[in-house]
Amino acid sequence: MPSKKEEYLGVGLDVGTSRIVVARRNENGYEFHSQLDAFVEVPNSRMTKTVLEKEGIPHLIRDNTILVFGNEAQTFANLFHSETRRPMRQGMLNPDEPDGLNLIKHIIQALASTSRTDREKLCFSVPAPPLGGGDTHSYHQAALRQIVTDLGYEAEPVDEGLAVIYSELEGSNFTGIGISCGGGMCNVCLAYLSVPIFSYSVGKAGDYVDEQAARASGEMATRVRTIKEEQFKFAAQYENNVLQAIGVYYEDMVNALVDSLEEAFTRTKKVPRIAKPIPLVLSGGSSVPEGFVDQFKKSLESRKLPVAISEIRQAADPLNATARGALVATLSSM
Amino acid sequence: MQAERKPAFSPFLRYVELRASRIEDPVERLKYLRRMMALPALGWNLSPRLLLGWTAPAAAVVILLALPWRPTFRPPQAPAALASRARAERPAGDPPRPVKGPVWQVDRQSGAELYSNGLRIERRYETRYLARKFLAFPRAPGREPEPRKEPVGIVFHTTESAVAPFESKHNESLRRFGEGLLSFARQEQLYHFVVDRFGRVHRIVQETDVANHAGHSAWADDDYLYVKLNQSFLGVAFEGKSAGNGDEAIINEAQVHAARLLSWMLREKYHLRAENCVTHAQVSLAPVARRIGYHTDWAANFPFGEVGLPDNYRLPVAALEFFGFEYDPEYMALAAPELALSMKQTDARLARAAREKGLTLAQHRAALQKDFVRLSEAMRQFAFAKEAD
Repeated sequence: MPSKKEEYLGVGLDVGTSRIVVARRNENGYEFHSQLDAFVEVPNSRMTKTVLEKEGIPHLIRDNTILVFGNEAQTFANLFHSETRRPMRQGMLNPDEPDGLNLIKHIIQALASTSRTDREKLCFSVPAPPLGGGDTHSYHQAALRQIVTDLGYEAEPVDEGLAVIYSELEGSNFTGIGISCGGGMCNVCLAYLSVPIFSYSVGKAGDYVDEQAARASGEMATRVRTIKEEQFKFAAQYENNVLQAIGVYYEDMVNALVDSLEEAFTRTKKVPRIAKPIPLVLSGGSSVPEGFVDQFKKSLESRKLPVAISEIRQAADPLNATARGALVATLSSM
Repeated sequence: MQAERKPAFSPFLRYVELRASRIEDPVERLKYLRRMMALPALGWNLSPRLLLGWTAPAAAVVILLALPWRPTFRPPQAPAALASRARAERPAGDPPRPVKGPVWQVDRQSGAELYSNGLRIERRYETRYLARKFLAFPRAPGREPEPRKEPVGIVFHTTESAVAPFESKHNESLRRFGEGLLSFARQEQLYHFVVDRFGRVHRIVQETDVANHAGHSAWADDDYLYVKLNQSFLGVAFEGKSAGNGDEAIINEAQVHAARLLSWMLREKYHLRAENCVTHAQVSLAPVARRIGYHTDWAANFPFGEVGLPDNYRLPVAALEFFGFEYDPEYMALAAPELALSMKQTDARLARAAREKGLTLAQHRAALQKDFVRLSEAMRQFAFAKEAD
């Protein structure tokens, strides 16, 4: 009989542009731990250093500056009146942040720690290529694999959209469409009996909404993001120009996502004949605002897909669905 | 967009679906589905005639037989089904067109090298990495390992990178993908040579140096065993995907021609044995799981004959034969028929050897696996030891 320790082995890791989430099993099912995938640079002083160490706040010291990363980055950004920065951009490693990879490594280490056995299995989420082809994500994937391998894990990538399917669609035998709407990109996957038929990514996602709305309203993107997360609802009528702009660009994002789905079916010549209508599940931080699912349904009404959709719903736990799916992928390979 | 796959509509799939529905635990259900869908005969590309000819009980037998298998998880980029479809497009057993005669360098400029057999090597992405040094382990008992610096063979790869349809209207994408790949290969010192989709041969890492192409790997010729082939073999990669690209073959005629000229030159220059020119799938292994086929590029379809080599799929897989490794059913499903046959023959030889030694097969394999660990450790120490001044 396996020991308790062995019974709960296996890790799922969602490396998103906004958040990094780790999923594990426990006696009650699944447990999740997350950190913001962000950092802020603050001046290096003895006092700051002491506070960070005393409070156990993750940080790195770089000559004259300290990089505070993870959940506390936003707090320190507010304290020091600066913007948080992202180790990732549009779902990929941010080439403009030379410390990005190192920071991601520290965040993952803080969340997942090192492997509990010799080469514990771990699946990590990776974005799919853009619809219609484009840059491969080999470097991103290789770099993440290296990080987790260095922590002692036996690592395998899992497509982000497929992870959503693994998390949410066991009821349809992992047949259906999984969409992860993140900060940097949306990832879409159609799977049939667990096998991906197509998967791709779309560049318009949460950050796009923030940036465009910020440009339109003259507000800072960070501020727009906060307003979006705290106040925005689809179908509400707003007088506030920031919320209006968020509404416009959020709808644009949803329309682009639905357009892409139609295009993906058109491009894919070999879609299997699926007899029954299939479910579609939406997850990720950008799918959280009230009315998002209805907006998606409304947008989809005007399109014709070659497969019937039985239901469109939000993931049970949209912020953790990808990590959960990655964990299910891990467990199914053990 | 990732690879597109078309499952066949079949009563078997309905059976698989029904059976999966009865598995309550989602992880177990996924495990079952992934196992079943990896079986080409059940999941993909089964002909309607065969489907109709089989009965449900027969299907059930096949399914039940499949149950104890524990497949290694592979990301969706390496679809078994498409690789097996692609197999039919370019049979592995092409009649060999042997290459003969000396090859010498005719010209060498900063941008390219020209050889007497027509080979042109582009040098724009050329780079250096670690100097090559390795141990060749004699198969004859009692002989000491031999330190070497010259390569002894070639491992053929596919890059598994994004590929655009090979049509003139996609020129821009074809060029862009190729350049992105070459830059990445240079940055990561991935191969010694990359043959792009226009048949151009690009040197990436100089042959005097190691490249990161083979990972955990092993091979053997008639006289020596080799482990960690990054150190001892040259890596030649073809821009392309194991699964092909839509209806296209894995590599095109220009790439095959270039491969023929390149392997001819390399074999002449470094006196490489033909039996040491093999594919990544034949040498790749997962050392912890003691399985072969961690990477499966060119598990089938490599045009040995057209490249001027004998059909090396017929050779025994060294890790099975000499190091007691095993293989997953998925690997067998992917393998060229000649390779699959060779694996079965190795199984039989190992079973016979175990019987002769009075051991179980598992005990015999375990003993061979210890050899692998010993050789790997010796190789690691040698390769990474500092030169004594």
